[in-house]
Amino acid sequence: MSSSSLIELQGISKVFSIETLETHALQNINLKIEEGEFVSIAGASGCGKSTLLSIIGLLDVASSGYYYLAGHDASSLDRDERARLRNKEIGFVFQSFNLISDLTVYENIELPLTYRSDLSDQDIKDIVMNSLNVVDMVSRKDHFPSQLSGGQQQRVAVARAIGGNPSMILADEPCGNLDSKNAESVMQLLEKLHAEGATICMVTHDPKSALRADRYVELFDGQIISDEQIAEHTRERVVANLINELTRPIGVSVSTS
Amino acid sequence: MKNFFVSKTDFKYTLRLLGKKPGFTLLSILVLGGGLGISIFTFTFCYYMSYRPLPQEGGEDIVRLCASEVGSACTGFKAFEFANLRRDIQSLEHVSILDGGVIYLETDDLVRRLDAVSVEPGLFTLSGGVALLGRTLQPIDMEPGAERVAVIGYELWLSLFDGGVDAIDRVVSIDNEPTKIVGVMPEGYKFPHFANIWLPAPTTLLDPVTNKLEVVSAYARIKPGESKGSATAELDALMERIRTQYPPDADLEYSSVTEQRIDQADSAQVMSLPMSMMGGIEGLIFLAVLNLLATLVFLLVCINVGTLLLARVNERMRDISVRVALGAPRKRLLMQVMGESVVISVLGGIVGVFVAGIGMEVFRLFMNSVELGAMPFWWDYQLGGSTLIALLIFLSITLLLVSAIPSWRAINGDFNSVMRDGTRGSLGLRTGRISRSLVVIAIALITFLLYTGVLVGGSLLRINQVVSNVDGKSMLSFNLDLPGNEYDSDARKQFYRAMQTELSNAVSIEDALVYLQRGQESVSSLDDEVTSYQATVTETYGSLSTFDAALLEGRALNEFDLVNGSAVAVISQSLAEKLWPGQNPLQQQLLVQGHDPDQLPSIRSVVGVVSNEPISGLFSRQFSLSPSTDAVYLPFPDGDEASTWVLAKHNGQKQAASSAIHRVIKQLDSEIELFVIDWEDQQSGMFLLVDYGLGVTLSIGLFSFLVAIAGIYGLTKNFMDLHRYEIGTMRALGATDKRVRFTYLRKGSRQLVTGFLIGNGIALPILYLVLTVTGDGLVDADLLISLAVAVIGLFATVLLAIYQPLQQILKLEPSAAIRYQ
Repeated sequence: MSSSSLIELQGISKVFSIETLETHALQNINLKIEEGEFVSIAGASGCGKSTLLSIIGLLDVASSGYYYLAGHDASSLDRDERARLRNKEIGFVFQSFNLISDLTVYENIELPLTYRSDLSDQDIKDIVMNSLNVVDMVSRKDHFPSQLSGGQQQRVAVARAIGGNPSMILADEPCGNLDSKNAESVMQLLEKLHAEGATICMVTHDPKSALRADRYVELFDGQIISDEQIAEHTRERVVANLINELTRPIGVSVSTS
Repeated sequence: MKNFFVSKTDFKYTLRLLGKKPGFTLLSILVLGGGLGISIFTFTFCYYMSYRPLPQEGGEDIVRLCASEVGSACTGFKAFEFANLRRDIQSLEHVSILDGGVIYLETDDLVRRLDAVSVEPGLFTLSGGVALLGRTLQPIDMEPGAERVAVIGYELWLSLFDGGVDAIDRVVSIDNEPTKIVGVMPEGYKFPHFANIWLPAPTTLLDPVTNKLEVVSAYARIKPGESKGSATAELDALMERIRTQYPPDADLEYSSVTEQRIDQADSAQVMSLPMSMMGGIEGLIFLAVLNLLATLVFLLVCINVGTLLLARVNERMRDISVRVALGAPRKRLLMQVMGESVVISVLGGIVGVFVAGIGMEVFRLFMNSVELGAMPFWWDYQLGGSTLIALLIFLSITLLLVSAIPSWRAINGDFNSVMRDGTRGSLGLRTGRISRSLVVIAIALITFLLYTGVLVGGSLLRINQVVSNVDGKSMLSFNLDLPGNEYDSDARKQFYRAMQTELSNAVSIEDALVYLQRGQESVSSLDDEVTSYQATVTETYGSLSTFDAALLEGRALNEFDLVNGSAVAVISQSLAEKLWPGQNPLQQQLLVQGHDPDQLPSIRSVVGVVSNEPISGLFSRQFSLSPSTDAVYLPFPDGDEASTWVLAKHNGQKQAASSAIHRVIKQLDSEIELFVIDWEDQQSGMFLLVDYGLGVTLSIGLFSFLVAIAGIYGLTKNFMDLHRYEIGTMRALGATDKRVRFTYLRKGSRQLVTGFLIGNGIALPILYLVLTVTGDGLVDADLLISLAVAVIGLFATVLLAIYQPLQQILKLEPSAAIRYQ
């Protein structure tokens, strides 16, 4: 069976068993994500959103149910097949950046491309430089991650995620480790990529970040309790409030009344 | 496929990782290099000693013929028996015999002691020896009345004649007889072992007419189409026939060359030359034990380097998980994880070859310097094809072992949880289990090595002490065969008496002693037959002061004892103290068991006690793990023994003493041939050899111990780091430092005791077996104390390796430990 959606989850469940205790992290999840969508998955801590992202990102397998990614039945793939599909179709952005500390910025972005056999050295070089341009980090290409700020590291991580031209970017709390300014910069970068046609699925527990997506999926106790489109005016209001907050002068306000 | 296994980035990444921690990298390379060096050296040593084909063309077909059973040490044939046997041999060609010994070669101003062989001309054809100058020996040289000639080796030619072509036809004195040099052999030719000079075989060897005592070594080539197995079968059948036809004479039960009883098993076999020098199955066991020890050291090294790499992989688990998330193929991931192991193994291999090369060179120089007759010509230890093959094998094993654990982790890690939680949680627990298992294995290995090291070291120390007592003594010795058909019991006694008197009267000789060593026998007091001891029993005629054994109590054996065959004995002080502690040993009754367990023990009255001079252990050519000073000296027997040894103490004028010995023997019987052995040369060589062995054993033992302790420390430190969070939590919940210490030391002790018990389970049966076979008497209070000290040291060091990292964590505030990732 194949699907026309980019992502289709049918009856996905995930159970963790420790000795006699079973924990149902996900229960009967049905979800479709179309190409070009920007979906945010939100929910309280422990609701199963990271587990869901791991399954969508082929980092974990479901206990039951079916998963289709870009027309491939991903439920029955072995480890190597999942690795190949992950490399080609998915770009990851993690909360803690997960850059490799002993590789330079350039090498970090280059790394997933070297796992592919269909790219020449020149292709890889062009892609890396282009990605660096997109995130505006060309001047830092020979730096090591430890020489960059958190925001810069996350931009490098975004560049690494988009380098292979994946079908989807999976962002797991991309602003979770950033201050508000850097967080806004990263969110704007994701919005820009989305505007250029990228499909993005973002996990967050921050409502403000979640509302900047097109679609809002909320999880509770391993189940989807809401899945709705976000109205344009709602998003505009959120963004405007944020910009106000970020542009307010820093200092102590003193009441004179 | 492009970049499928490794990329330039991966390679740079590996080098960066190694360069980032140069101390770790250097330590790993040196430890691995040391272990590989020991293994390669030992393997090459054993290979050259036993299995390597002889270097000359068709060398694998050259064999020695042995009058012994398959699996036993090679012994020579009685010349008379072999003369009958060789006529019918079909499976071998170029059968040649020889006899070896020491000669004194005198030129204008110099006397040299040399290893010489008396050979048949066919030996040169057999061994492919062609003279560099002049000629080899010819049949004409063997004929009665022929001019006495000799062929010399390359080194001797350089040394005697500076490599001049005028060496040919020069006349030198060999054992006081003028001898013409007729040929010089090329460099490296020392057939059959380490000969410097070849003389024509005497007629007694070539054409023995009676069943006399002469013993020959025989060599041959296996004919095309035949094998060692078929040649052994043929030889064995022929030997049985000869023994049936000519039963051995009871008088001739001692071989003149080996000083052992002639094998009466009617068996024969062919062996390669290296194997024939190994001493049969015992030699092979020695090699196997040597290889086992080197393998254990190597295994220990691999575990430790693997452990260090495991700790490194633990540190990089998050990086590896990121790679997995980015879609790294498993093979590529494997190669990336193995990158460090490959670089460390290759560099360790280079260091290992270097270490092995130094070891071989030192051993070669050592062997050449101690004048033990140097080394057999096939012991040309050097880095070559076999070393490289050994290196490749060991490197492959290293890579397998040191990469197996890290790679296994890389492939099977729970990357999802690592990216979420760091290395705590299930991964940390699994790593903890692996670390604990490795600590147990490392402790088991080091326990085994500790036991073996103490045993070998203790044995060598004891030999060293014994040898150093004798070192520097001015003595000459020679083997004396009196033909049974010419000398009856009275005639022999008369000969010994006359010889002893004449030798003692010579100006250059201070004292002389005729002796026959019976070997280790069980002795006890008549009052307490149950408590027996192993002592070396020697039958003597002459003064025990020849070897500086001072009479402490009672009297020495005398002429009366010899003539009447008195049932008396003189014993060493150490034995007297064991048998009759605190009592007067004189006139006590001593039970001597003898060789034959069915034979009734003889009862001897102790008439004297002498100092603990180790004549017994050292006169024997049989090497013992535990030379003892426990000795029993009996009056020389009724004269049944045809072959004896004579020891002459000289006044420093070695050559004059040697000449006197030759003169005295020739006066008594001009037919008797002699090879006089310089005791000093032989013993100083042995002393150096033991000293070298002791040094090597202690160095390897120390290296192994340091490697093991470093590895155990690394493992426990890693284990503690993984439990830092847990320790922080325990303390946050109110556990005192004492409580934490107790908990973790108890955990560590469990591993220590488990490893120790496993090590004991492996070591004790093997050591028991070895001690039963060769080391009788080695286990004494000193050895047990050394072992106890070593075990306590091991326990203390391991507990310290657990305690020290624990202390570091306890110095942190609990909050800092909890925050640790």
